[in-house]
Amino acid sequence: MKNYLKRFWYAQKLLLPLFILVLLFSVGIVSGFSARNSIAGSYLSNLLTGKESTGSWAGVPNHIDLSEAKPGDILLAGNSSAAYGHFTHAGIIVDTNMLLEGYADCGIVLAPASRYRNYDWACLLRVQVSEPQQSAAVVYALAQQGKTFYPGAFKPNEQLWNCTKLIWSAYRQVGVDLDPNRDLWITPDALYQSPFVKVIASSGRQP
Amino acid sequence: MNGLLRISLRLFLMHIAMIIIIWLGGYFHPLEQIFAGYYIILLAVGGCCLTEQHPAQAPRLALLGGGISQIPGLLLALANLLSYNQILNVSSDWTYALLIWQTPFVPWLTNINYPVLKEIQFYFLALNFAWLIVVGCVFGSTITYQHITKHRWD
Repeated sequence: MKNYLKRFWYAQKLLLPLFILVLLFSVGIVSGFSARNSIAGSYLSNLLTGKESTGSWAGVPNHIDLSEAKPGDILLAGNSSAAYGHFTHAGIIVDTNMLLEGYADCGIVLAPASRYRNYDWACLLRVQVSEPQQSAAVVYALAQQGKTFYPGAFKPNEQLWNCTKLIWSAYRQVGVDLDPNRDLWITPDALYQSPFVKVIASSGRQP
Repeated sequence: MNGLLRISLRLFLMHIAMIIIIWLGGYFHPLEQIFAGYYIILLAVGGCCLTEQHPAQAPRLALLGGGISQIPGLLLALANLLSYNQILNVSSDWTYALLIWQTPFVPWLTNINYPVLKEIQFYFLALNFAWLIVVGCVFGSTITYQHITKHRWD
């Protein structure tokens, strides 16, 4: 018994690097090494230039008009000097004043939509699908409430979420792929670039 | 001292490897859950092997070695908790760094629905104290292994 435990313990020197190599290769194979403009590369290079993940808010609220917002709409917001891209956060409108979003310190939660005014800029998007599809996307998103946030969550995993993946996945369920880049991950900027969305309202600097 | 450094470094490197493995395993759900379980077994086996090598000092080495290997997690948790209580102002990068450090325990967090009581987010608390699992697991297994072997071979 003692020898088995020791052998198992010392075998890890070889096994753990082997697992890493096999998994790296498998993810590469399955994803087809096909991301055109991988987020990971631009994110890391932005971080190295001293930018923060979500940037820093200048303290002046934006004046995004939310009177047109309806369930299923997407609210994007961003701050200057962010490593993610122009927009750094995203939420899906689920009610007149509420949206569902993913936050690192509380997982997938409901929040007031007006909170998105506390960013340098914001943008309200509408996905060009039928109302039943929008409702189905909202129902799917609401079912993820309380689940875990993880910044590097891969698209296929339905246990780990981030703000943008929640929205992408909700619309994916109704047959719409909002990611034009087909990357392993998705950012708020990709939602903005999607050919399936239309800008309803915006405030502050836009891409 | 040499033994302490060795076990700390070993646990630290193992944690880094498991961060990468469990993150990549997340692409093939539920593989990340299996690897998270594997990590716990690995820590327990590490505690048993430590007991074999240093029978008298094993619990102390496990506590210290586990603690030293988790210093990054401890510092990140401290910064986040201080920021949560508005004593320190840190950017969200610190919370992301904590989440990445705690990757080996994130699959466990996904299986629990956390309540929010009077603004205390149990999700956030669980995230900040996940590093205790490493210390507890290695320390616990040394104590248990000592207890079992005493009863069997004494």
